Formats: sequence, structure tokens, C-alpha cells
Amino acid sequence: MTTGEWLYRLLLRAYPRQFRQRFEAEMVAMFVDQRRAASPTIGGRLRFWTAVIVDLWRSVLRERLPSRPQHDSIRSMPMGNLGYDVRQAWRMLTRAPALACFVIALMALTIGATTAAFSVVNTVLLRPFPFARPDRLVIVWERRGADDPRNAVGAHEYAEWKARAHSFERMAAIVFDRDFNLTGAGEPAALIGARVTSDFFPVMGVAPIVGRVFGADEDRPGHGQVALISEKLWRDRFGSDASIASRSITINGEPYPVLGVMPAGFQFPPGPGGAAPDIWTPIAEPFHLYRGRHYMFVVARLREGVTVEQAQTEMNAIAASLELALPQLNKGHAVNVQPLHSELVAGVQRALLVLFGAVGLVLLIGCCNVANLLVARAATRHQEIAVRVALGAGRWRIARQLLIEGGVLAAIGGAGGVLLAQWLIGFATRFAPLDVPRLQTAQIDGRVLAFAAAASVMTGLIFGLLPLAQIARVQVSDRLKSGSRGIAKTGRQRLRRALVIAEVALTMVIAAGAGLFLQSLHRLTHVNPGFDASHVVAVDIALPEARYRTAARRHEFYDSILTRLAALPMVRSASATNFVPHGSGSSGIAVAIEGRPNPPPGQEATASYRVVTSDYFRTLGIAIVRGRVFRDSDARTALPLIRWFPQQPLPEHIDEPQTSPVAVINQSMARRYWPSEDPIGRKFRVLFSPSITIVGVVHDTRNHSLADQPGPEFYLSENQEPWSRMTLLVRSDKEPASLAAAIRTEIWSIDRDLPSSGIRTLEEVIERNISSYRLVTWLLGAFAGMGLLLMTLGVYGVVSYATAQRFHEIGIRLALGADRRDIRRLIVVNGLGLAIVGIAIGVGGAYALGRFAANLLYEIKPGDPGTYALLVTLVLAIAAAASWVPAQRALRIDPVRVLRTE
Amino acid sequence: MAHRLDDAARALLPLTPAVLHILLSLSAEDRHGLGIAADVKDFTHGRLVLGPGTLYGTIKRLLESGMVEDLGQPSSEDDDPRRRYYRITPLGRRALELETQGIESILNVAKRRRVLRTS
Repeated sequence: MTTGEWLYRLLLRAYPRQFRQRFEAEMVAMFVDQRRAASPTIGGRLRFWTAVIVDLWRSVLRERLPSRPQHDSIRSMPMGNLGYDVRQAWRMLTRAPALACFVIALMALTIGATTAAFSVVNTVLLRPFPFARPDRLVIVWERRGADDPRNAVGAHEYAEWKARAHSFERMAAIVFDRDFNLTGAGEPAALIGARVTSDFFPVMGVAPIVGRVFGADEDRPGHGQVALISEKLWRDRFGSDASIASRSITINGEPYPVLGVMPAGFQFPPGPGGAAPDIWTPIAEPFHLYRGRHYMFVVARLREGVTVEQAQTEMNAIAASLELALPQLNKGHAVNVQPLHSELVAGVQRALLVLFGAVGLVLLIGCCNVANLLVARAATRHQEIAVRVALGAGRWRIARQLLIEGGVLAAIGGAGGVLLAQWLIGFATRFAPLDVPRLQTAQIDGRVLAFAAAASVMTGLIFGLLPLAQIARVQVSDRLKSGSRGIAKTGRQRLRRALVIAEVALTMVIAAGAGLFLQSLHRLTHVNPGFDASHVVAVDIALPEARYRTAARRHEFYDSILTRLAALPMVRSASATNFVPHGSGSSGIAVAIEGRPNPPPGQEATASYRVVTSDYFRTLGIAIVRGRVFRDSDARTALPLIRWFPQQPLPEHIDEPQTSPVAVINQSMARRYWPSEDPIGRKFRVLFSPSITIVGVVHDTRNHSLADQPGPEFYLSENQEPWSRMTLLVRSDKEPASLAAAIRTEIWSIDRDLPSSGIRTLEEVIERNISSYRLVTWLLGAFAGMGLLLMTLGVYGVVSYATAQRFHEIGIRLALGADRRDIRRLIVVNGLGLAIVGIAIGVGGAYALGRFAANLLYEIKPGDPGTYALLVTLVLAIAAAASWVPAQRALRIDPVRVLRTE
Repeated sequence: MAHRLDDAARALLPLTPAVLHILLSLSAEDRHGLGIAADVKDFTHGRLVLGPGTLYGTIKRLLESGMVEDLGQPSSEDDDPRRRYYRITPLGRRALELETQGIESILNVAKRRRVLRTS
């Protein structure tokens, strides 16, 4: 049986038993059939379930309230009565203002939280991206075995795919290998940008708001010096100047005529950390010659009528033929076609769904509580209702009255919920991490309002249904006798107990999820990364190509800035690296170990690498295990060490003698490639480099993220492999933030056109990586807290009501000399009983949620016994405490007074 | 006897939309619940989708009023044993007839007064 079917069977219990016995099997069969026919999207399911519940609710009412005289049907009632009913409902609610306020607050809180969460899910996951026919767009990756399904595409592969594939209308490539330093328009700034082929904008189907996009002519080698800029850059730096399309901007010291401005919503391709791009320029290089250079990202628009699967099949065939034709280059390179939408939201989808699920559970718990309160209130109103029935009011009339009361509560609560959601969304967009795509644009739109309205109506119906079912059984004669303890009362108490058990079970599910995430986060933040990030400031530098064309110039700059920084009074050491730890740089590369036979194509040894200056290890406190690290005396070359592809144009002075390059490796690399020998003095090559000698082994560090185990890694000296884009790392004794101004002054004293906007501490870099995780965890924790609070109220309410019913009995027991401790135990056990049943049900659900979220957890199993033990104890303790208060009250009963009223 | 049937049928009028559509569906042939829902959805071009609650709630009242009879489980082997077939009774057919005659006379007025254009 599916969950849906199970839920439907549960809902069917709202019908009278006779009806159920006769029709249940047929109704379930029909439900299953209709569900199969319903659309499987989230929206489709939502519509289906709304229809199911509305249908159920309408017919339950008819079945539950059968003795309906013809003239008293809702249809024959004049509409003028509605105003009267609403006024009457308002009077009833203001008669018990505390209860009404509490119910409204509860509803506003739960609907607000759910609506805010839905708005985020809607913005990030459901809303289509602002591209033409976004469902036709795909990303085409290179796949290398199961471990690496998303590799950058080789330039020659892109050229072949574009020529051969028929599944796509158009295909375009994107590369991220350039820096875009903007000068001459305010402070120098490092822009986020990409180079794209001229097909890019037609593929995306987005037109500029000013000017035009570039054509194939401007994408030819030697012609690429034109740019499109983002609406934000246009606004911030150029005051939305309408004549921008006839102006040039200075990028990397060279003039780039601006062709046009892209609309504000167009934020593709996202830069590091999901940042929106500011600038697009043509690739304009003969990339088809760059065989084996894997540096492209490929987007394509599917031809009309072609599915992703068909495109994948065609690309499989193309990849297979390339593998045959170019075994040296393409052995083991397959293709992976993925819908663009799911690729863009993939990183956050599961976490968001977990959150949304948790919020849904909070909503249900809130519903249980509201229903509980209304059932209790219905009890106090039985007398009134019985009088009205006796005076001739039809049951429909009364049902209608109660429904309108529920409706008024739901409307006010829902409106409050929307206001709260508005505030929560504002809060979320201000503090949310950048790497959740489009989160910044979350807002309340028509769809979110519809959701809030549906949530209000559904809660109104769900909790309105329950007290109504009780009232339907009102026997006039019974109710007119005051103080009678009829059967209905025990039925009501049973219903309230069931509601509380459901609350405990639902709370268990959320709290277990929150517990698992909290423990994951705790373990994650207490991982030793192998380096010391405290008191270190990171500053990104990107030297413009035009002024720093030679390796010697680049090295000279870094040498002098590091010397100046190290001389500052509060600085302990200064260094630089091309990939800041936990930054977005990816650095896996093929290595060939000398003295070993060449492995077959596709099975080359790989390692990550970093280019660092001599003081890098000292600045980050990385321990040296064997040998030495780099020295300033390590031979300096005027040339890059690594050639990235065999056809790369050879640099000048290539024939000058090279001194032996050196490398430092980490423990993992030593263990993996030299398991039983001393790696010092061994040699390896990187791509098309000369051979590199290992001079030292350093401690493993977690350079990619806290969650990833360290892998093989080697370091090259900046002396020998000077990069233009590096990150300065400066360790100081003082608060790192106070260093920023001093660092900026030093940079500008060497080159006043260098942007240095990206100054932050290394701890911030690391934190940024886990900030989404932290956010999800704290939100889950907050929801769990809400659930626990609501559950406490529920248990307290039911136990104190049950105790109040037994005041009489307790008084007599006390008079007969019962031990007060025994009586207290009796009451507390009553509360604990509810909790235990709820826990037993909840543990199963919690485990299922944990399984769904398993790959979001870090070093903890979804069934972690410690978490469950802790939770069970916590829930039991809360239940005991919530029962303790009414128990204490019961013990203060004066037996003499009880006996006197008898 | 015919008069008695007419009187009994008249007492059941007016028919609710759900009743009208279900009787209309059964007037063609005996059907099970899902078959009725599918037929109604079909001939109303999807304007009326009967949920299980509405459908069986209405069937229950139709059985009680004697407009429909329950034929029980299907006889053929290949049918879903959970399904039961329903048949319209002479009373149901008469009520349907009277109701649709009423609708027809309204339609005729509407056509004469050009509220409804005849195509």
C-alpha cells in the first residue's frame, strides 16, 4: 500500500462505519485510479489532494448530518444569512477572546512558517528560469565513469559535438578562465564574468534590454574585444546611461566596446559561489585546435520534439565514435545530458525539500493543537447547541454556524500568516547564503498567496471537521441535563488523545531530523582541517594580462607585495596561493610518475595541486612531515611549468635551460603513489611539464571542504609556476579585519589600478562553504523547537482536562487516605502513555526522513541510536513535566470540599 | 400503476447535478463506480469530475431512494473483484425523464428568446 492510499484510508474513517463498510473498497480503488491519472508534479499533487479533501469533506458532512429537512439545505438558504452568521461567529469568538487569540496566533505562526518555506521552494525550485522555453535547455557534460559525471568538456569534443549532433537546435560553450578587472569607472573592481560563444544568447533565448548581442564575426579569433554587461553593472557603475552601447569600458587595462546590456533577471552562468555575472565576452579563440583542453561548459537547446533521453542516446553514439577515433584523448569519456533547470537547483533541492517537509509537519502539529482546542471548546458549547437544537434550529444551520466560526478564525490566522511570511522572507533573503540560486528574489506572489489561502482553508477544514463530528452526535435530551457524563465525552477525550499522540509522533520526526543535522553540523565544524584558519586574511588578486604578460612580471609583483606585507608591524607571515582553501577553485590534474609504465588511457594517476609561495605552510600552520618546503632559493624559471595541452603556443625563451622544478606533496599522495618507499627525491610529470622532483611531504589538509576527506595533493612553488590570479594569505596577531585597509594601501602603492574588493578572513571563506548547511540546520532546529512547544501544550491540555474530569474521583481517593504520590504517578503515567504511543509511531517516520536526507548528513547514520535515545528521553521528560503541573494541581484538591458538593 | 411511478418519481425532483449526471450515465448501460465517473467526465468534457466521496455518497442515496439498484460483484473473471455494478431502475429512469423534460422545456424557451443560439 502506498502512503497516499494509507492516508486516504485514514481519512475515510471520518465517514460513519456503515457507509465505510459498504463503500470503502470501491472508494479506495477509485482513489488509486484517479491518483494514477493525476499529474506527478508537485503542483499536480497539490491540486489532486485539494480536490480529494474537498470531495471527502463535502460528502462526510452529508453522511454525518443525515437528518436534514428539505428546506434547511445550504442551497435553499438565502445568502443574506451569511452576514448574520459572520457577525454571530465574531460574537462567539470575542466571548472567549483568549482562546480565539491563541488559535489565531497558532494558525498565523504555522501558516506563516509554511508559506515562507513554500515561497522559497517556489522561487528556487518551481519557478521557471527567465530563459525562453527553459524546459528545452540542457547542460551537456563530459562523463568519466561513475565517480565523475560532470567534467569540463574538451575543446575538441565541443567542436565535434556541435558538428555532429542533430538533437539540438543550437549548442554554445562557456569558459571561466579569464579575469575581468574593471578600471576607469570608480574603484577598480574584479567583475564576475564568462566568455561565451556567439551561440550562447540565442541558445538561452534572451535579448538585451539595450543594444545587441555579439555575432559570429565578433567571436572569431582576434576579434573578441567586445562585451555585454549586466543591468546591475550598468546601473551601479554607469548610471543606466542610455548611450552605453556606443561607449567602451576598460577591462584588464584594454578598451572593450559595450554592445549591450542584459536584463536584470538574466543571471547565467553563475560565477563562484553562485554570484550573478556582470560581463559576457566572446571566446574568440581557435579552440578546435586545443585538443584535450578540458575547460568548457556546454549548454544547448533541444530541437522541438526531442527528449533529453533521445539527446542522451545520440550523444552516447557520438562519444563512442570519438573514443574509437581518438583513443589517446578520449578513452573513457562519455557524455551526460542533463536538464538545465535541475542542474541549477540540484545542490539545494534535497535540503529545501527536507525543510519544506519539516515545515509541513509543523503545520500538521499546529492543526492538531488547534483541533484539540476547538474540540475542548465544542464541549463547553454543547449546552448552548442543545438548546438551539431544542428550539428548532436545523443541524445544518448549526454546522454552518460552526464552520463559519472556523472560517473566520482561519481567515484571520491566514492573513496573519501571510504578514508573518512576508517578514520571514525578508529575513531569509537578507541573511541567506548566496549559493542558493535565486533565493534573493523570493517574494509573495500569486502562487504563494494561493498556497497560503489553501493552507488556511485546509487547516480550517481539517480542524473544523473534528469538533463537528462530535457535535453531530449531540443528543438533545442528553445535553439539556446539566452535568451529565455521556458517552460523547469519552469519545471526545479519545479524539483528543489521538490528536496528542499524532502531535508527539510528528514532533519526533522533525526533532529526529533536527537532531541528526545538528550533530552533523557539530561534527563538521569540529573537523580538524589540517591548517589553522584563525587570524588569517585572504585577498584575491587578479593581475591584468595586458600589464603582466610575462611570468617574470607576475612573480615580481607577488614577491614585492609579500615582502611589503610581511614588513607590516602586526603581520606574522604573508603568502599566496592560486586556490584558496575551501574556495571554488578546482584543481584535479593527471600526473605521470617517472619510472613506472604508462597506465592505459582513462586510468591515469590524478592529484589536486596548488601553487604556493614559500611561506604558505608557515602562514597556515601546516606541519612538515618529511624533507623541506619551498625556499626562495629554489631555482626560478621565467616560464610556466605546466603546459595544459600539447598545442598550447610555446612561450618565449622556451629553449633557455630550465633548472629542475620541485614539488611538495601531502601524506595522502605519498601513501597512494609511493606506499612502501620514501617519496623524497622521486620525480613525476604533470600534463606536459618537465619532470618535477619531490622535496618534502606535508601533513594532509582538507582543502576542498570540511566534509571531504583529503586526497592526493601536491604543491608547486610560485617561483616556478607564477599565476596571474592568486589569493594573498596574511597571518596577523590582531583582529584580521583591521588589516584590510593596510593591505589595500600596500597593493595600491604598487599598482593603483588593481581591484582588491575581495578581502575577507579565511574563517569566513570556510564558513561560507557551510553557511547553507548551517542555515538548514538552524531552521530545522527552530521547527523542531516549535514542534516541541506545540506538543508540550497539547500534552498539557489533554492531561489537565482529563485530570479536571477526575477531580471528584481524586478527592474521594484522597479522603479515603490514598497516598498523594500514587495519585501523582497515576496522572503522570497517563501523560507518559500518550508520549510512548506517539514515540513508537514517530520513530518509524523519523527513520524514513533520515533515509531521505542521508546524503546530507555528515558522519552520522540516519538511524543513529544516540540521537534517538536522547530524543526519546527528551520527549518523555517533556511529557512528564507537562503532566506534572496538572498532577500538582490535582493534589491540592481539598477532599472535604469535594465530599461536601456530593 | 403508471401514475404511482410518476408520483414517486416526481417526489424525487429536482435532481441534484450529481444525481442527474450519474443517472444519465447509467441510462446507457450498467456500470461500476469508476466507470460512471469516467463516463461523466467524458460526456461533460471534464467539466464535472466526481470524486469518490461525492460519487459514492450520491450512489448511497440513489440506492436508498430506489432509483438505482446494486447488481453486486462482477461475474466475469478479469474484472476487479472490488467493483460493484449499478443499474438504473424504472423509477430512476422515470425521474431522469421528468427532469430532462423540464430542462428541455426551459431550453426551448431559451432558444425562442434567443438566450441560447441554436447552431
